[in-house]
Amino acid sequence: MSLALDITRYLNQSPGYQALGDTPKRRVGAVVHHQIVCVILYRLSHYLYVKSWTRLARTVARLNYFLLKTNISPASCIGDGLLLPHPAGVTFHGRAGNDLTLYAVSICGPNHPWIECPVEAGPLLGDRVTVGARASILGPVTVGGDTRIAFRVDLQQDAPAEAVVVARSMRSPGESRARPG
Amino acid sequence: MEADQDHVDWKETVRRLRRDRLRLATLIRETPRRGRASVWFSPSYTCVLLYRLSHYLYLKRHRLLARFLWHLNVGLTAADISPVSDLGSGLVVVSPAGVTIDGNAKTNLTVMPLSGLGGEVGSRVDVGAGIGLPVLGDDVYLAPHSGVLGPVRIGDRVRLAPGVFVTRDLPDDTTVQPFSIRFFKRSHLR
Repeated sequence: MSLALDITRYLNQSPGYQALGDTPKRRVGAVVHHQIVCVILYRLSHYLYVKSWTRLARTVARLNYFLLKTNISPASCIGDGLLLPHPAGVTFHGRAGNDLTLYAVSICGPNHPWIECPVEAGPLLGDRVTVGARASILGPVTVGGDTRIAFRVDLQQDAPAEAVVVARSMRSPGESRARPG
Repeated sequence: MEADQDHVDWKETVRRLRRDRLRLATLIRETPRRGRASVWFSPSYTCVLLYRLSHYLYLKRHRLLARFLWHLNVGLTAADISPVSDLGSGLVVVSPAGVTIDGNAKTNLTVMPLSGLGGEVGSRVDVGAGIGLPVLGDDVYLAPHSGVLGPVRIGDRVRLAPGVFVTRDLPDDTTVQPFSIRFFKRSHLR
């Protein structure tokens, strides 16, 4: 069920497929797309992990790594509608709600060298959270629902719901840039 | 006691690999029997194994074979660890994808995802790792998205916070703090 919702979200978010609609042909075509292959392998590894087939789960997760360079641990618990626009380099070890979006080379995990530690050491993300490119969320922090983590932000504290988190060196998203003349 | 780069023979390579495995097994926190197989087939260890072999072959002047293993490492694990780099035992690369290492380091280097060491283009300074490359001490920790650039010396037990890039020398027992962040309510942006 989660996988079907993942594919639906992928079809809705992908501009190339949106015009053609969510037809069965498009759904089959999505299965061979690297985004969905990555999600399928993660869902399979998580299923095996939950069924206590830990070694098989780990093998599938490593296949995911060697094929697509995506490091999502099988213990991670991610809700429906996972979207990975650019899977290579994405690292995740934690828990997340529905409609999570992880952009390129984003990292979510514990703030110490982890390989296979409990997921409680990683972040807990709410529903509809977006993690920007090159952003990292480290440690057992909580991120509220509908929050967007901007690119290149390194978050190591709790973030409220419906917030936008940006690096302090960045310009305020609300202020307009002064134009000469 | 680590051997000099010129004395990294096969025995020393195997010794370093054993220390790498032990340190990785400690991080995996498994029982020794299960941890052994888990370590051998881990991407973290695969990238370190290929690097150690390429480094050994490079020192034995099998440059073509060393380059082949280097490129195999890039293709298989996406970790770009130059065979010229001399990294001491206890090397752990938590998630190899996107990691780039070009420089020297002593023992127990911890490389978190998407961090690395690199050179400065155009620099002619050599601090011991080659022209424009950094030298790291013992027990250095590179947090995610952090790095050391240029011909600098980093002391022992230095910890870099996430997103920090260092371009100057650092003494022992230094912790480099991360950049601060700001929160905005999404309703204010509409």
